[in-house]
Amino acid sequence: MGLFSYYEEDSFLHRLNPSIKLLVIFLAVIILTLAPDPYTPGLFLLLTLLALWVVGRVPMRVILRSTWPLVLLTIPFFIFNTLYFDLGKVVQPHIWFHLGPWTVARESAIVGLALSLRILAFIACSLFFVTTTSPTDFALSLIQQAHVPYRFGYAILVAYRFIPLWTEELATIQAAHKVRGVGEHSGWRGMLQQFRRYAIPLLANAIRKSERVAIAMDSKAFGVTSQRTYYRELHICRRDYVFLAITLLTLLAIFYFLGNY
Amino acid sequence: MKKSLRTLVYAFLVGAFVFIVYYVAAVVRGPKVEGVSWNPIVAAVLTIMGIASGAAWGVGGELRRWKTRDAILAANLALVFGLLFLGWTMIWDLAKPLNALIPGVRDSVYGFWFLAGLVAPYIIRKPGAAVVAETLAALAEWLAGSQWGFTLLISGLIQGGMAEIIFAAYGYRRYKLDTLMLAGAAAGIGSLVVDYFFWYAQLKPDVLLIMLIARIISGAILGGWLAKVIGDGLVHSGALGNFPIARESREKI
Repeated sequence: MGLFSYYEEDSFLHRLNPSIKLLVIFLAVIILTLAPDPYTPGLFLLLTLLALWVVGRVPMRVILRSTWPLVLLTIPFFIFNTLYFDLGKVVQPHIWFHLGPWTVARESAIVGLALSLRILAFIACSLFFVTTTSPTDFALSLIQQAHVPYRFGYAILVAYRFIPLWTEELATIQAAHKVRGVGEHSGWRGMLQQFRRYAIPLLANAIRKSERVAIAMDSKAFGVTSQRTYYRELHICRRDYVFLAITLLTLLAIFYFLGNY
Repeated sequence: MKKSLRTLVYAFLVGAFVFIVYYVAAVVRGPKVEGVSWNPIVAAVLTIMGIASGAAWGVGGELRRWKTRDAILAANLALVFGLLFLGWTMIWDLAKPLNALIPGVRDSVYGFWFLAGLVAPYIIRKPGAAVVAETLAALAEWLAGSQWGFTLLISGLIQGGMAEIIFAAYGYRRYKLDTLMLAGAAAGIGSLVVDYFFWYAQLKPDVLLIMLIARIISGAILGGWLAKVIGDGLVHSGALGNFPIARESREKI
């Protein structure tokens, strides 16, 4: 599965305040959820990807590489929602065909399509956030603008810093098991067994590492005062308000003009 | 005010407030004025979301009193679980054929997604551990690129809030198998409520009922029971020597 990651660039989207981006995504997600039609999420999806490509200067291959496996996953979701749609709510359904115990009607297919496009629109929102937000700025903005207690803001940064170490850690544990002659099995049961064998040592190491880092931080008097100052300060400026207004107005306009079809 | 009481009072007040607002809009003023008609499922969904977010709100002030060590541990556990959660999506997709038998039965694998909000309180034993760990795990899963997008963050908050209520109801003192299983079951209810809001509003009520039962059972077993197994396994590994959980097991010996 293609994981999302930060794409370094200096664009309008990259310079926005991370907390504002989070707020915009939150509002967009709520509006998209209240829109029952397939047009609103569909058009929003296209516009988001276009903005990411043109304004955010994120190359198309980066966008496609991380999204295509997720696009495939929406197909079964579409099928499930189409088959189990509550047709009792529709006054006069346009029935297409019957398939065993299921009835497929035009209304249920439209709802299934709307929900699948909603998933894709949400994925586009996530991709927009992750590719254009540096993790450090994100943590700083959580502390400075969203008023998350700074201990947790830094804890998030520490956790992010540890990500590459987990792969090393896993390799070490695998090697340790191999040296002791514990082989790896394939198939379902093997997967389950490996999960049990690796999960506890991995988590135990996570705990030990956390404790060591926390001791180091404590010894440097981290967290003694309730307030602190920052070398880098983030602000909410005019471009953030402009972005907020443009996105919400566009979304509401789409919903208003197309949502009733 | 006592910590556990504050969580419960906030939960109750916010839940009651949301319910009253919906009742006034849908029944007192009615569909003619507000355009909202009464639906018992929607009423329950909104009330439970209110209860869970109230619990999360009530516990927020406690977070300033956490030690650095606990915050770092919660974040690291949340990250590991967040990545495991992302991997669990694969199991979720493999379990799809279950839905062909009886729609909604697939939700019996859902409980794994509550683990962060159960293992962290089991180890750290502080007010707010369930909310923080589950929300941060959801954050990690979202940023790593999950198909569910931003809704995960709301899911995490509500699931953590529901689990938090159970831990608060036991006064943040009792962390036994039954507490964890109840907390898992509560998180199961919270998860369906959010999913109903975002995805399942169009489904038939009987499918929703099967989903609810499946998630409660799964939350208790795959969530609560597994959290206990993982927590005890970690105590045996000796990594938790300085945490309350290990002190308790030493007393037993």
